[in-house]
Amino acid sequence: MKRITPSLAAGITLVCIVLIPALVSLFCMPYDPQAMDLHSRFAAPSAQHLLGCDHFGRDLLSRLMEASRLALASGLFSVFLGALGGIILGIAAALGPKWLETMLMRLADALMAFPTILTALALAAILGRGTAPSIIAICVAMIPTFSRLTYSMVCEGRASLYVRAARSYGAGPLRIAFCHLLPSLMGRLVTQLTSSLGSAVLLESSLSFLGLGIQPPSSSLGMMLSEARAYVLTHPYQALPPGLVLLVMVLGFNLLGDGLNDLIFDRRRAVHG
Amino acid sequence: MAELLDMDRLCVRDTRHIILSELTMHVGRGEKVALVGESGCGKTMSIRTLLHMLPDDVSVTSGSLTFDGTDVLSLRSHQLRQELYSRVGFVAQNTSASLHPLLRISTQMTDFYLERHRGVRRSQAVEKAAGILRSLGMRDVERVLSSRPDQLSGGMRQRINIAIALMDDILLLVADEPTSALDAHVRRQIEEVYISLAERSCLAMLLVSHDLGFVRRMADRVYVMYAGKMVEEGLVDEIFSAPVHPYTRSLIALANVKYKNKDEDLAQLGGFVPVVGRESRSCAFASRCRYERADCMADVEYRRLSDTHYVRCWR
Amino acid sequence: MGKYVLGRIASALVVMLLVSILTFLVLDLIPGNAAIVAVGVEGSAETLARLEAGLGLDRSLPQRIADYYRGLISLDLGTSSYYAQDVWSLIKQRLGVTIPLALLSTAISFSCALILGSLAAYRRGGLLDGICRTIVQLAGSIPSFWLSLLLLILFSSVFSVAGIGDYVPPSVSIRGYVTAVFLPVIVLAVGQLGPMLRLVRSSMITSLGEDWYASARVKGLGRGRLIFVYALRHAISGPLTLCGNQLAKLLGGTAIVESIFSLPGLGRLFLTAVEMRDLQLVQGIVIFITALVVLMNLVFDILVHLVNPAADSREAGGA
Repeated sequence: MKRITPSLAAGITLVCIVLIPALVSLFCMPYDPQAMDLHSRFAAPSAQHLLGCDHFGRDLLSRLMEASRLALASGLFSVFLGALGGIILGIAAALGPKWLETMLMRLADALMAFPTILTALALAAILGRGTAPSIIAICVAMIPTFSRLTYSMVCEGRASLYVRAARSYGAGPLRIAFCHLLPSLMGRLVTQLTSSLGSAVLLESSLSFLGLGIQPPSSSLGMMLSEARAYVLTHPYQALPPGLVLLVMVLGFNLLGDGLNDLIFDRRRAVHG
Repeated sequence: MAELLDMDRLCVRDTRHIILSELTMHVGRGEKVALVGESGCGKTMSIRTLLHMLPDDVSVTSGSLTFDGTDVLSLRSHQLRQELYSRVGFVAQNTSASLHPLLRISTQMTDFYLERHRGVRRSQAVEKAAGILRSLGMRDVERVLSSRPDQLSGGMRQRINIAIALMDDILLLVADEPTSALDAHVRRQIEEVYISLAERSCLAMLLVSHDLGFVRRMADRVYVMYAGKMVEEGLVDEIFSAPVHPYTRSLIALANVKYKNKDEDLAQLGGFVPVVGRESRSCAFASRCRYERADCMADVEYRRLSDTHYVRCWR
Repeated sequence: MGKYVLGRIASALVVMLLVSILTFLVLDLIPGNAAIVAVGVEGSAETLARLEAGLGLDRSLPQRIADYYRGLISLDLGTSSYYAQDVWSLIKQRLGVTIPLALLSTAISFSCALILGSLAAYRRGGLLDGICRTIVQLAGSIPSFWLSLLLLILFSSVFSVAGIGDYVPPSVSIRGYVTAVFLPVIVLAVGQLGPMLRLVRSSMITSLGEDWYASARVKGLGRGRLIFVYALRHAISGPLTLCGNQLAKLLGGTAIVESIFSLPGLGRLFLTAVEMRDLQLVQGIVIFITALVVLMNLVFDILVHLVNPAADSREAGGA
């Protein structure tokens, strides 16, 4: 019985609110997000500039559309890579030799306990600033969550009957991992992927707020906020739209993750009960 | 004499089914009453109604419930402590789960007492608790009081639960399956605790049990419940030596109590307690009954056999 | 108990060892070592060689590892190339700002979460519960730097508080310290509140469904004691573990907030190190924070063990 919970509905709505303009920005935008117009510096919202303009007179709406597209793209990319790495490491730890298991899981514990933003910052220190380094940094920060999740699920699954049955007719560890375990773990992975998207977007914007992520002239939500910070006392309005978009995006993914979790949990309970 | 507990045509239902249908039951002052029936027939729900412990989706639809002159059903949640819980003691079914796992026994036995009796010092309350535990045949009371539940045996925890109920001067002790889920020798001990308690105090008791041997030793009167209805009630001798309702007879035969009727070969009771159809006035037991006939589908009244013995069956 | 503590200390040491090896390897083996990074590509070969010698980079790998651990044990984390100062003394100077910040905000979010979460669980589905669930979602999603900006706007334009003062140590002026620290503490507390509130609420809901809760209620125990002593006592071990974890994370996770509110704390030091690519300083702070995280988790695990001696055996059974 599939039921749309309120949080699922809210999550879908919020994600759509940012996703659709981001997709539209691929084809058309009201203005060139990098075109400066010094006459309309700090312009208030009007018919020409729906959300007004920033300190260089660039159209805020266009910049927001571009920024949310970049945020979504880099978030998706880094979460996907991080999940892939985490899943491989998790399976390796669960099915590999004991010393590998201990080492990988202890390491994941240590990384989990470490502030994510610091992991990303430390990597940025090594790799330098820019889009690619920040994606790698976020991706590394995502790995422990996924490896822990995969590890615990594989360990649970390994003890289950159907895996023991598969082993009894001679299926190798890789075959077991990909043909038997992974499908049953998809539900929880999808949930985790969605929630992680939220944190990845947040992390990316933090890095670009600090000037370590996406570099100008491209726009990013964090960078826009960091620029708005300089004018926070004179032009407080500048800080509102980018932050709101960021909040909607992160909140949307978090709610979506929760909603999916409820959905999958409900289904599992229905199967057992 | 006014009854201590007076349950009159109580109906209870959840969102889909009727759970108790016109349940009537009395407990006199100092009387020991047993409520007997299979699992799922509504015994636990009836005492939960009395104690305001019904789950959220279950509600009382009609009937009345009076305890010591108080209308229990109309009590608001802030009145419960003074009006009800200070006069009724309750020993829950799963006694190992009904003690807080992290708090010391002495705390758990005295904190509610101290709240209720301002001005009593904790040492006095602990002393009282120790006295009650000793009177229930507990040895090594000091050690027990300073332990946590996981350090104690099932029998000890059961005694502590009884002792908690006895901390205040209660009028009625309600015990839900007091001897189930215990191994044989602990069960023996706990039975003795209850029996000696029954002998030396004028406390009224309401025991919910399907352990008929225990019921026979303990109770003055017995109520037999089936599918949310009373099917038979009577003095303990009436029920055990001359049961009328086929359900009662099967229960007694199954419990392997000494009663054995030669010309009746009571096979094991097949089937389950029905969940639906409790509202109908026909006999709910008919489908499992070997004496079933057309009348069973009609309105089966609660017949009077003697001043104390009633049955819901045409036989 | 003793055995438990020893086991936890041993595993903490293993984590420390792993992280220190990892940081060493990452910083030592990446193409372009710390000296190149510090000098820049334009630097002359001569300066580079001098710096390499100064950092011990001209020695063999085993020797470097030995040096590294000798340094760690004697709290010698090397010298910062940007500040030209001992890394450990730099960290020490900054701790006085960051530790009170972390402690205050954790204390605020923990106590708010305990009270709100307990009451929300008690009146499940009620108004307060709805508010709490909204808080959980919002607090977990709002970016700390945006919240900081919003609060700055709110306090400067609406309450017309004239700017947020520069950091003043409490030993100089309590009033100045409070003005400087007030907003950052709120931002940090809100950031932690989401997961904490969610956990308190869900463990309280579990507690309130237990048999002993129903029994204690029927004993006639007062509502306050019922919720805040019986149920909360049972529900607290999870939140307490989380609290330790969050506190530890905060000691380094305050970077953004410290930079927005111009607080000279550890997080800001780390940011400067990252911006200046002062790898020795980055390494020193990473190791220091890991040590803190490990230590903090150890302390809180032992605390949980004291509060709830049955917890670890039960968790072991469940995992």
